[in-house]
Amino acid sequence: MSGAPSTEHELIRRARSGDEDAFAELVELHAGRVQGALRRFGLDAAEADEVAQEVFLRAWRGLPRFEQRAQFSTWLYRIAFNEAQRQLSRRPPPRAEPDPDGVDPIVSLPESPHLGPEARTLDREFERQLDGALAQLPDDWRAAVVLRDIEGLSTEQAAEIVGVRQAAFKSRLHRGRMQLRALLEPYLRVEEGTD
Amino acid sequence: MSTFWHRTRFRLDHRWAPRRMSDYLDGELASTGRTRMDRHVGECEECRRVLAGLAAMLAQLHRLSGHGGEGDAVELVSAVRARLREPPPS
Repeated sequence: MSGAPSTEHELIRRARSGDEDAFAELVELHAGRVQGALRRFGLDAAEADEVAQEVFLRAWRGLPRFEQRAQFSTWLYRIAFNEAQRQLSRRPPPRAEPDPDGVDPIVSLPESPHLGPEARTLDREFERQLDGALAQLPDDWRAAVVLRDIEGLSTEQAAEIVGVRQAAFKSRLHRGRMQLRALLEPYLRVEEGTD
Repeated sequence: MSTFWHRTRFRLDHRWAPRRMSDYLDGELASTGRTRMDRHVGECEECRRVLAGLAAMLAQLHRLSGHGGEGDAVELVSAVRARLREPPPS
């Protein structure tokens, strides 16, 4: 291999012509992102490792169909999302869907005491609590928050990945955010406002 | 009359505001909506707390953006390479 690192575009071009070394570099570039997304979509560590392999295998087989004007990472997210959904659908339903007569996370504003621990402690606690809180969200809401707010995709990209219109995606996103906020409220670093 | 109107407007805004907080924070609310939200959270401690919490949560989530999973990339690359050499499923 040459000394200069290949651009992603070049790696994709070489991989599309069957260069496994180039594809291996792409895997290495995107492994963390894919594994992180799979965990946050609701898979445990063992499932995420196994499904991550499947994601990249599907990417390899699908390379001839990949349109290079789209972002490779967005395309991988779509495959990862679909594979995660497939894995999750094999599980028995873990929790009841939100009770339609129960608390609406949008309309009901729960009370909770404001805590004031050190900011770094809060951040650590936040990250520790985040996975558990995400697991409590309905799958659709969780996927929306993961793609938009953690993986940093645009609304348009994320909606395309999950296969819904942007308006429907934004509804899921907002509901997911509001429920997540309520679950994580004790661990949020809220700026004190001046009234 | 103005107290009645103020109370009515407050109740309507209090129902409206939580539903539009994401749009507000994402910069997708029109200026009239932004004005309405700013006015309401200025008057409503509950909504102010929720909006501040939502903003804080999004800031903390965005700091996580790009953080990868715990898995070993080298192991994954090896596993994928090995499976590339397997015959494709028939």
